[in-house]
Amino acid sequence: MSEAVNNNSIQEALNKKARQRKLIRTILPYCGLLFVFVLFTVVCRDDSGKSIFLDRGNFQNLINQCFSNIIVVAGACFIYATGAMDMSVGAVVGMTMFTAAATLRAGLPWPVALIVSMLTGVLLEVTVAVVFQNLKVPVFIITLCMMYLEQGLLQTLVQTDFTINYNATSFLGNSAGIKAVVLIVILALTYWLFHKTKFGPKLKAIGANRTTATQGGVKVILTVCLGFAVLGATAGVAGFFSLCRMGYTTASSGAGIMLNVMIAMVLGGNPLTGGSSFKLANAVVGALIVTMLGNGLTLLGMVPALVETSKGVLYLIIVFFTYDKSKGYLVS
Amino acid sequence: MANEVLLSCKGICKEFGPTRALIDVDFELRRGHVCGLIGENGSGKSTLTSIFAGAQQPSRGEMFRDGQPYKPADMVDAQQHGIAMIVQEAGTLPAVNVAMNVFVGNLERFRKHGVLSTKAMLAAANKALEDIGVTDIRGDMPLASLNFEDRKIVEIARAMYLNPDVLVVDETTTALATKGRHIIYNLIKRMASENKAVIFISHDLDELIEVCNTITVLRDGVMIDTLTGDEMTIANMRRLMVGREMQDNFYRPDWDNRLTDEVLLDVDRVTSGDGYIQNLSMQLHKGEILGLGGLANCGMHELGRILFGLDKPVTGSVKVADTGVVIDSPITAVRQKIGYVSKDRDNESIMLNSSIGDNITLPVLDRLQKGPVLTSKSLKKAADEQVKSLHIKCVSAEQYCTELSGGNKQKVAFAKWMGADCDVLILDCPTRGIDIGVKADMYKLIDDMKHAGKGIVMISEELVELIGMSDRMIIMKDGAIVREVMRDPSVTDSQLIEYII
Repeated sequence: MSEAVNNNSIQEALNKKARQRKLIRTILPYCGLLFVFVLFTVVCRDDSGKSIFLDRGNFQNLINQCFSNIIVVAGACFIYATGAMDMSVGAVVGMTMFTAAATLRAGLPWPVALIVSMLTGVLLEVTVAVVFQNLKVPVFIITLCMMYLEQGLLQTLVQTDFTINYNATSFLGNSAGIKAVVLIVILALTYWLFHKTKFGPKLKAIGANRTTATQGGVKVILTVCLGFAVLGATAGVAGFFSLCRMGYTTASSGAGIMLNVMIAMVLGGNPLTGGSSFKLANAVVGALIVTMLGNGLTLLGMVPALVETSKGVLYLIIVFFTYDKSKGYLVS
Repeated sequence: MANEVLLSCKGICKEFGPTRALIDVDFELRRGHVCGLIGENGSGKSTLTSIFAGAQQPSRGEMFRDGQPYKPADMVDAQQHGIAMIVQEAGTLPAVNVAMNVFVGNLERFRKHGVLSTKAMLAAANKALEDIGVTDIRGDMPLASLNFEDRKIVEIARAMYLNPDVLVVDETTTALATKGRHIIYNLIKRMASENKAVIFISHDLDELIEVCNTITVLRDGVMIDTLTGDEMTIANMRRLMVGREMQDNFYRPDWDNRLTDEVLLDVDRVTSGDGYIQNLSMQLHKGEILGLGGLANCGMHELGRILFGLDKPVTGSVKVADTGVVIDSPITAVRQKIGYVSKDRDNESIMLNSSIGDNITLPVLDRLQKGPVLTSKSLKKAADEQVKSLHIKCVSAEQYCTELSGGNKQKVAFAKWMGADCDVLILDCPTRGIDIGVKADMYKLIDDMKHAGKGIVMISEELVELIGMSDRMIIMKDGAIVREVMRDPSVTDSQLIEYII
């Protein structure tokens, strides 16, 4: 009898440990967010000792940067959940900014430009999905090629800065209210699609085991294409609002976003192999952290190029700590 | 020297997260003995032996080799201590040649002035292979050119070249045909006669009685009993493994072989893409269990894939009889209420790193979403229903499939199609690698489905199982149907084997 009680208590202890581990994994990204927030609030001060991380000018900056990152990351969940990735997403944002600018310069109203921008993104991303699934080329290779292709195209099209009539659309780029509404609408839509329709479970099933998904009757190729289309649309929205804020676009607009997206995914605790444990909220938290990091490091006086370097180092560190070497995938 | 304790352990415990794989295991292996190790899937056999072989470290407990404390750091270290293991899964490297595979982890031996001496290594590999009685596999062959069985033989050579005192054979024989089994049996005999020892894990109880001196039974990570001599009977082993009395005949109880006239699936002169199956026709009836039997390469597995639309026939068609719809893809098949359980369960049938619920609801996502929202409540309900009706052993439907035993994983693969309310089920080796307890549940389930009017295609390499379950058996050989046999108590497996070979 005493043996049985003993065994039960051991089992109970093990269960408790497993629950704790799960809890830690759930709250860890949020702790990271809090940590980064507090750190930069404390560390970033001007000469008089006032915190500059949260003053009005920088707060505006932070909101703008968060806006683009969160929107693109929310869309990127729809492809990362399937185990795919997109190295070209930055160039895609650049392309959408260009087509939006061209539309506005042609004298068309801004809603048309927004739609053109989103369609550009959808078209480019769906092209990637069709090519990599039909040619069976690894998605990393194909999107890397697409990135160079699109960057080259942009450089040809945008010789110098490509400006639009700033005054006509700057209200869209600079109003915190409008941006908040857009952000909420997009997050609500992506949350609904990802967690409250059959679309999300299908994407995650493809990430978990493509063969099982196929045998379970999932239209794998179509589903993946739709996932890429969602990313394309969000890239278009991000590109359009960036254009409105800046009033011009350059050949290098959008560059660097793909690394932000990847870091956001892992910092938020989503596995890069995709699969069932993928959560939109995690990715959004990751996007917030990565934005604050970039912003905070710049505030501390780091040269922008070095900010990229530190992101690279950070990425390496995260992968080192979260990569499950025995199984060959990132901890889910 | 004989009968001395060669390897022993005391109080071995091993935990994986909240799962207790081994609980206070004490074990002794004596010189000159062949010890069988049995237990259902998940009972801890492989965990225990992989701890002996250094592949894993115990959470607690001690091991002794010839009375001295023994603590292997890894498999190579264990091998240096004379303890080698042939593992259950394929543990070979396909990208390099046979010799590299034999000596992987020990390539230092062939270093001459800092350079690997390929010549010496090839010669040593050939010798190692000859030592175990193999002459048709050579050291310089690329591993990728070998078939599955020959790869296993390379693993045997790897385990044996250091002349181990203890050899662990983990369910290897199920992967081997006559040639490989012969090699293993010879090795086991040789080890025993040289006063060494073998630990032999197998699901084949007859085989164990034949080769073992003692048989140790594990259940749920606990050492239950060790049988010797006359105690080693199939009935005893089954009882100890399952923990209750098992009936001898756990197949269908009836011998009724009447078929209904109603055809569910009509296979009309199909030819497979590689031309192996040509002009094959057959029909599946409502409420029929149709057994497809033959050797592994007879084309029955490929036929199963064609039936579900995974491979497209180049000529001919698979049609759903009452709607006339041609099955051309798994998407159509699922829509037409056809289900398929692959023989490669872990790689194809289920998503291991997903919850039981995610797996079960996959084919019914389209049906569960009514309106714009798919509620988690409807998902949970669909999953819980199947977990309950199939008695899947788990904490909840949210538990991940990686944590389940083989039999329970197979139940999840079944549950998926039960929940989808399929009319036709194509089951490719539904009981492969599953222990008796769950096997009996599976047979009961298949029989229930038959009585519910479903049509079942049961593909199996085990003739006894086909005879016990099918209404009608189609025996295949070289991609063609050679015989059709109706259900009858007089059918024997030796009779069927003649058609197969």
